[in-house]
Amino acid sequence: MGLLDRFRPKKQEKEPSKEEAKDKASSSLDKNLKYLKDKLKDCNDVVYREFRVGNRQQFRFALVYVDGLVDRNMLNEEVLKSLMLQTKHANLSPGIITGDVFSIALRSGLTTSEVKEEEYIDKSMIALLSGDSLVLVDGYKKVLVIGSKGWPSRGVQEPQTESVIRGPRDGFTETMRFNTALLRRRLRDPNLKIKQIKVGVRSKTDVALAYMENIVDKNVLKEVEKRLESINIDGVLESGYIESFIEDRKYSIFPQVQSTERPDRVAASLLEGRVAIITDNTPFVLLVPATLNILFQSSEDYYERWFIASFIRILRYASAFISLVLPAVYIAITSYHPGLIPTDLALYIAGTRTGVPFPAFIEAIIMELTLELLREAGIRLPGPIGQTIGIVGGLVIGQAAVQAGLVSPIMVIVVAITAIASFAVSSYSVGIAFRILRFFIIALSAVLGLYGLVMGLLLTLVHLCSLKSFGVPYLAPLVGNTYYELGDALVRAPQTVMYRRPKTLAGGNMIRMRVGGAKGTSGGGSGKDGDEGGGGEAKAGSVKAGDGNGKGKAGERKAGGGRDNGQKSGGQQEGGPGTGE
Amino acid sequence: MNDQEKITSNQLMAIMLSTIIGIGILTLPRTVTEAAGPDGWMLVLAGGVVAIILSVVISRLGLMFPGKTVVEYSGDIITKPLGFIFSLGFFTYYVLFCAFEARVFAEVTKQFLLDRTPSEAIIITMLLGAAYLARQDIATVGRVGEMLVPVFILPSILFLLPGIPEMDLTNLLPFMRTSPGKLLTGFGTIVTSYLGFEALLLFQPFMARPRDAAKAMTVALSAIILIYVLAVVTAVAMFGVVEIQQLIWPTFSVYRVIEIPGAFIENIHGVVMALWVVAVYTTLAVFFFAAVTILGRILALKEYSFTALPLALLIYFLALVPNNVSQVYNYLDAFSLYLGIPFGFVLPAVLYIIARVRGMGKEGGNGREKQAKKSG
Repeated sequence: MGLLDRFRPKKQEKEPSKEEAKDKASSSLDKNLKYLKDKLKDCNDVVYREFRVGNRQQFRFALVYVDGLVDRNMLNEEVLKSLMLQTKHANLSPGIITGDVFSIALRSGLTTSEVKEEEYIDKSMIALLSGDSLVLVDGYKKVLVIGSKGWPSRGVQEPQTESVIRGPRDGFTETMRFNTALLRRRLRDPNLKIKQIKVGVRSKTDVALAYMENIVDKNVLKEVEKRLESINIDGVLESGYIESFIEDRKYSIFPQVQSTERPDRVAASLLEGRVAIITDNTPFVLLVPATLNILFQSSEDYYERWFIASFIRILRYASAFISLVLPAVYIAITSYHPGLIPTDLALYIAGTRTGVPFPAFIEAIIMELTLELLREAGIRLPGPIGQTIGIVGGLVIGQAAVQAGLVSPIMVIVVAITAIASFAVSSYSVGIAFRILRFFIIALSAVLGLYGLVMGLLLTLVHLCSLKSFGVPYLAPLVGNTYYELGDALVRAPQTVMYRRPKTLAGGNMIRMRVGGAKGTSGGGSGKDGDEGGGGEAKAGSVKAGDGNGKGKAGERKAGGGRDNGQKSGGQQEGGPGTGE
Repeated sequence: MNDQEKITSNQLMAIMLSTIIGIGILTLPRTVTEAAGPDGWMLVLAGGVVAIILSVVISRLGLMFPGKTVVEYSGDIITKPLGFIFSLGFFTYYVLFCAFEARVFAEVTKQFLLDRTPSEAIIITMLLGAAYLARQDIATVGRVGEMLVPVFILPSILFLLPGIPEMDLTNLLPFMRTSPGKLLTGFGTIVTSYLGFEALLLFQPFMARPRDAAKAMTVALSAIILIYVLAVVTAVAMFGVVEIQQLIWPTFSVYRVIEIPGAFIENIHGVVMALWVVAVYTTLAVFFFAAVTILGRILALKEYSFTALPLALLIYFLALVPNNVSQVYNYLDAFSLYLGIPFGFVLPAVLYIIARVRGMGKEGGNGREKQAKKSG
């Protein structure tokens, strides 16, 4: 959509500079403290604690942290206590200490696990503001950055937006570290890479790219990195900010990036070769590339038996279609082609419409808009009031409007079915896209009848066909030469049938599982060696046991032994390095 | 638009299926029956075979000049000025084809779906919709084709099944009684219903593997032959040779007769009409796309999607020129004779012969060298 871009001023050269001039730390503690206090003037949440270390209290130290962002107990115990008390009793000769107090503090003074040296004081200030603490040592030109992040955070809870009947109940939270841990817990594979960058000139939000190194499509990965790096915004408060910068077509109604709260979904996507973008401060993780098909899937599809999952998937597609066209079909048929439906029905509909003062189009628009209003009002209001709105709205619209003769009862039914159908679409943003498009198609069919309806659908389809997400056609695998992936599109084939990774997404290592192997020794063995990993583990083991076939990186732990030295069970291989719950 | 995404041979097949099946199929049973009586379906078959042969010729021609469309290599073959005239004629051909397609569509829609809507409204919405696709790239066109072909072909064939009791295959007898001379004269009219395959002149360089074009075209055209024969046979079997000549659009009339037992939908012709909207849309949009592409290449524009909307306006006015249906079909016959047959059948073959005689193409390395020079 270059059309609107043309009217924009040319992108000005990076106005807010991405990196500030780098200031090195000084060797004087006072200077460093002054620098920090100058920069962080009027930041009352920053705490400065100066103290002395050594058996004769001869070394001046300072601890700086942001109150509320750090684990204060940890700082007290592992930093202040170890430095102040334990070094006091240590029998250190002054010579050694004056020689390199810094590295002694680093090596044996601090009992925290995460310590970094930092040369630049402004960089360490960023670390300070993201929750690390700084230890400054007088006479030394480096700053110790102690990983002490610990702030009040929401625990791992069940995701609100994507609940499932069967499947894990944990969801991402606002803390990125938790989120990466949730992923790592599912994919104990060295190929799971989590690359971290900072986005946002002012917010300096942590953004992590997660991908499976030997599965991901390298071109997609490169493109994602390129687009992420080109983001030049002051603050990133939610992954939606990032989405709007990396999506292919800004002016499309359809989302071209998937967002999810479910770690199992992200893990499954990574195994398909997709890239996850985890943003700090939001539980919504972005997944690219996204196709319409993927957006119609739910993670539960893979946990239920395939027959049920297939049925539900077809239902979902059908409901999206219904939510798109049903009111338009009703309008087109009642106002233009009553001959298309059985005469009895046509007469009945005409009968219910007698006395209704509006044409069907206005009637539909009124009802649809009221419904959207109700929905929006219900979301924003707290639970109990929201219900009240629902009841009042339902009564007003359903009963009173019909009794007053403002709308026909059939229209109420049509609108209600449409609403229910639109909620059955698994992705909220896709559901909204279809809901908005519905108005466009209603308008077209109100003017041009069935022909308008078909034109509306055709234009929608052309638009969908023209979309691409990171080089992947939005309608894949329905288009392109990837017909074997149709097993995971309108239906969900049994896992053993889907033994290949989707070609449209994955970049290598195409064989997902060895179908024969799962039934043979390795699969069976893994089931019985239950004490290692439990059911879930064993299943994962047997599923992945055949991997090392294609490009066959032997380093892949899951691929390994199961097949090569036949007798060893895949489950054992898998369960071994894990923690073993 | 040079680093465009390529299309697969399946997508080419889909484009061809959806392009060639358009307004022609509506009148096909009547025109062939007028020409050859009950032997009309053989005419359809023969016309299809000719189309296949020519599409193979075109694909050979395309392979001689890899990476070039006919707009560029016609200049190489028959000198620049003549090539320019050829391209301009080709462009006119597509523009007029779009105009006819839009006008006939409007007439049929008025007849069967929207009797009180002005033709202008139908034509302009159709053209705007087609312009939207014509603005996209070829890969999008390919994907649209891939999505739509099953949508409009499969149900149309399935809907014929309940009509089987109404059909009387003896209407197709007597067999082989038409005189060869009559068959030959009818041949000229039948080949025009295969027009559209010559778009390969433009699309071949956009294929991921241009070598597969001939195969894909053969498959697509064979499928079209089957569909056409089916349309003719069902129409003749249902109405008989005499009655069919009284119907303007016999293919639709077939669906007016058929009733699906126990179905919710009373008249399936409405649904078939909707499917036919899809078929016309794809035809029109692909021709539109071809016109936009040729224009862009004649003018050597880098980005030529903006020409779509002005073209839509031009086509709109052209579509409104004929006064009524019969005039539309008179013009259409003239169009087929003076532009359709030359550009679809004669000129590609002539270009191929000249190119072979001049020893151009890959053997001489001529085409490639020139291309290298141009791009370099």
